[in-house]
Amino acid sequence: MIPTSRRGLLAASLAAAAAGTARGAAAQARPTSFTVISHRVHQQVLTEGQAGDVLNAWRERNNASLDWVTLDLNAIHDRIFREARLSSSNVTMAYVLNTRAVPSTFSMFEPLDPYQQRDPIEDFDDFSQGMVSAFSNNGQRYGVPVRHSVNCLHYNEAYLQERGLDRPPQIIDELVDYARRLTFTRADGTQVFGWGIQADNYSDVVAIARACGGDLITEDMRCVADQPGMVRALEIIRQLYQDGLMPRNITAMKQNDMITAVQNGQIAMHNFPFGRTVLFNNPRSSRFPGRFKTTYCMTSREQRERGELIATAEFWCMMIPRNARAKDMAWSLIKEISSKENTIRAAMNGNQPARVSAYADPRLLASVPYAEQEARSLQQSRVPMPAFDRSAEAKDIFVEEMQAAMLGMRTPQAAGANMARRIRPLLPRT
Amino acid sequence: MRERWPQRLLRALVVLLVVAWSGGPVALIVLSSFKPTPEIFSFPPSVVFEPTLEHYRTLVEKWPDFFATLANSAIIAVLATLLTVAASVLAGYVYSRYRGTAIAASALFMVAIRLLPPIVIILPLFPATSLLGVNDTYAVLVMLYATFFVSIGSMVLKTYIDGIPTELDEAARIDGAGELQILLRLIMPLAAPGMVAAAVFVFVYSWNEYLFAFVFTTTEAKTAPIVISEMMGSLTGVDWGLLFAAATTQLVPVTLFVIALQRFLVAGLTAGSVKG
Amino acid sequence: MRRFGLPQLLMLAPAQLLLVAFIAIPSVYVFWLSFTESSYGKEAVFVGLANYAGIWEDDAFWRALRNTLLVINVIVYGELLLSLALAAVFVQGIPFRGLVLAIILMPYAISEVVAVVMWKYMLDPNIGSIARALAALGLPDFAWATNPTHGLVLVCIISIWLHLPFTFIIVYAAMLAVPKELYEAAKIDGANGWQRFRHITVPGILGAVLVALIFRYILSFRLFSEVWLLTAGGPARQTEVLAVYLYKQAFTYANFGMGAATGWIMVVISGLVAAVYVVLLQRKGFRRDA
Repeated sequence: MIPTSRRGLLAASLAAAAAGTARGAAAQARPTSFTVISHRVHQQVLTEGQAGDVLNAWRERNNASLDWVTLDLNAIHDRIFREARLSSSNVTMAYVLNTRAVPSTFSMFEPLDPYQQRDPIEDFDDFSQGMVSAFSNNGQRYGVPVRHSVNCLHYNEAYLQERGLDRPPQIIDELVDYARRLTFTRADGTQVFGWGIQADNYSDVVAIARACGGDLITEDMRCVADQPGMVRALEIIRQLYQDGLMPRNITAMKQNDMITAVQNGQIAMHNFPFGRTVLFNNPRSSRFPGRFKTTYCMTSREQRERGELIATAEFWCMMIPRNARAKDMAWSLIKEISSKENTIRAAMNGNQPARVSAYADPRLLASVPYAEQEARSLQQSRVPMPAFDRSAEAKDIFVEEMQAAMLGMRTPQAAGANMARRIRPLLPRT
Repeated sequence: MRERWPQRLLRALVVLLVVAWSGGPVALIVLSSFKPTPEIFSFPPSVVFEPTLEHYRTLVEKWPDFFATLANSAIIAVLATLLTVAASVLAGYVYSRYRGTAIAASALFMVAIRLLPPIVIILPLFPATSLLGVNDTYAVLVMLYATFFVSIGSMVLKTYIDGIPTELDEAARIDGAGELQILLRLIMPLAAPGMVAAAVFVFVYSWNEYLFAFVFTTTEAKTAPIVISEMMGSLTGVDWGLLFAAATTQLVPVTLFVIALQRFLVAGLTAGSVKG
Repeated sequence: MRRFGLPQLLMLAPAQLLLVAFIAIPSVYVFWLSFTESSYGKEAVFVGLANYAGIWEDDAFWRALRNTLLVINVIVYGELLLSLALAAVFVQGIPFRGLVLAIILMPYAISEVVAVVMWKYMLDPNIGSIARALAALGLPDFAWATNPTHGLVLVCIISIWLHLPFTFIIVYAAMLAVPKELYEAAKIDGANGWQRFRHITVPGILGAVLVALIFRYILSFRLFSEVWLLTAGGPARQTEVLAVYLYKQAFTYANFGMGAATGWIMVVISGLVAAVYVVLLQRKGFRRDA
């Protein structure tokens, strides 16, 4: 069922050639439609917002239309990888998240260096190099970064004032204390919790572990979950939960449940990507419009003194499936989306740009209040966990053991040791 | 039948309980879809409120493809129902009227093959359907839904046709009727309630099915449950009102369909048991 | 009973063809896959029984198996007992029968996605009306999100809620079909309520009940959406069932070989569970005429 690469390539290039001639012959006919798989948000930032439709010019120039297939996070990758295994696919271009871009999947996508040599994207070095290298294998680039999400601390300023706190927490030792003071019952009976995490993922706990001087998996692929930093983080999470400072049903709350809870004023502080502040402050969906503020994530005292930030980040790249029929069109589209001007326009529509220079643009600075904080965080950002072939399993093990520690089924010590013991065999040998 | 009042009271209580159990959650969804957003979260749930169509307006404006997918769901469900009922009545008739090792084996196969979890079928099926170019078409879902309900459809119809006296087809046969004529002219009209019952099962399943629709459709043949789950997974926070409006729109037609046919449903499943 | 010939086999063909094309043939491929290591971007490599051995040693599998067996027995027999009780009340005649029947059937029309949304919303400890009513009555928390036992209980509740109509309608229809005269005769003979139920109702509805049991066993054995959408197997993978385990192996970890092996293990186990009932049904319905 898996196409041998040579035959697959041949078929694909024949199909591409055929598509090319057909396009030439019927230039003024109905626009040719190209399928893009992405999250809804990727389509939104290119089509609606302050800067309007970013791809209008490209569509007219190429007499093309785009067919966006927008799915949720897991479904996008399920679909892309399933499509990419076929002998040929309608999918022209796909958005892939860094955690899912594991080395073994690269063989299903086009290497992009030849395209870049033939028809270069302007000022490629402007892209965040960390993101580019995460989508490279053996020195070959496979993806063009298009969107990132760097986490920061979001807090409900109204609650801080109500509880007599004049600034957000800055160092990790303040977390439990702040959470305790921000856990209370409002006059209308709503229970407010001081702190929230996404308990079905690792990013929020890793941020705490890093502020405690630890980590889950280091950049050189060592699992250090049994070291004091992660164990301390598990202790903090456990205390927050056992003392009732986080929602009781936290293990069943998905990201969107969390967002709703923050908007409803049920959670006072939470780490989220910067861009979420727009949702939290939106009068249509929030009970505290304009009262949510952003600040840097908590660090240790020493990190703070050294001016270091903790900023976990994830990001999206655009990739071309190896079995795509219209690869040149895909590259043309990627190039268009990645131009400096279009990067800024998409950013004004709510995208978090992957070009460093975008954060110097006055239009962006004027329209995005947190641009400066975000730019600084981006510079120091790191992915919460490096991608490797079996990272999905490692994630599940982490979540299982972390929840067990949080709910009191295991000690933080034992949970950390279990994580290390179970994750180490999954790591690539280096 | 005469009985004492405690028994009557007990029965009334049982009826009330089961109505609350089955109907309560549905009523909550339907009512909530007409509530202004703040009221959705009020406790105790408000029963008296000023109904609003705002969520339905949002649904029409922000999710226009929802209605297209509802149409897809309807077309797919109707086609799958026709295919399943046709295949089931043929099989059910043979199972009811004929005996033999091959027949028994075929019936056993029908049930046994269903032991395989559908999820695992997706692994080989996706590349195959893609090769045939039927992904994202009505055809692939129609076939799959028919496949997964033809077993139960055949069993229901076998049981029902068992209840039709064999003397009738023997008489017809003596009058010179062929197999097909017996089936079309005699069995099918008499087995109509059984066919309706089987139809209800497969229609409801096809209308609500999620997994296959999720895997095998992209845009053209996408069905309504997929869109509802997309609404649930929205990163912008769950818009409960919108979700309830979509859920109501999706459940009302099929609920009405089931209610309209419930009489046949009971009859279709009843008569077959006559022989016991 | 008549002997079959070619026309009869042709009549069976459409149903059999569907099953062969869409289930039997793919399942053979899945069987082969279960002896390989295969993933996205990799050729399948034959590994013998390694996948089966890996599953045997995986604690998560045994937990999922235990949960599955527990949950399906609760669901299937819970539904059956409720259906019997309810149907017994119904056949005696109740007011507004049509309306009540319609309401009882309603959950059957609801998709799993919507049903889970509904129950999650009602039991949300912060905004849910049932959860807050329980709290107002001073009852202890129903902590379905963090307490695995409560989580599985809720899975059972939702599943019974969704599928009770199916079992009920079959049982009720079967009870209606039991000839009234038998009851009258038994009454005259002085049989009490329980005796009439035991000796008239039970034999009368047994065939239908067996059909309902077999299908509910098979269908609930692959219980997926209720768990996946509610707890996704959490907390700490304590509420995982076999279908969720399979999904994780095959799709989350992209470990197709392990997923395929889990699939075949499920076939065997559910086959054993259902075999008892299939044999009973075979005896009743498809035996050559004696």
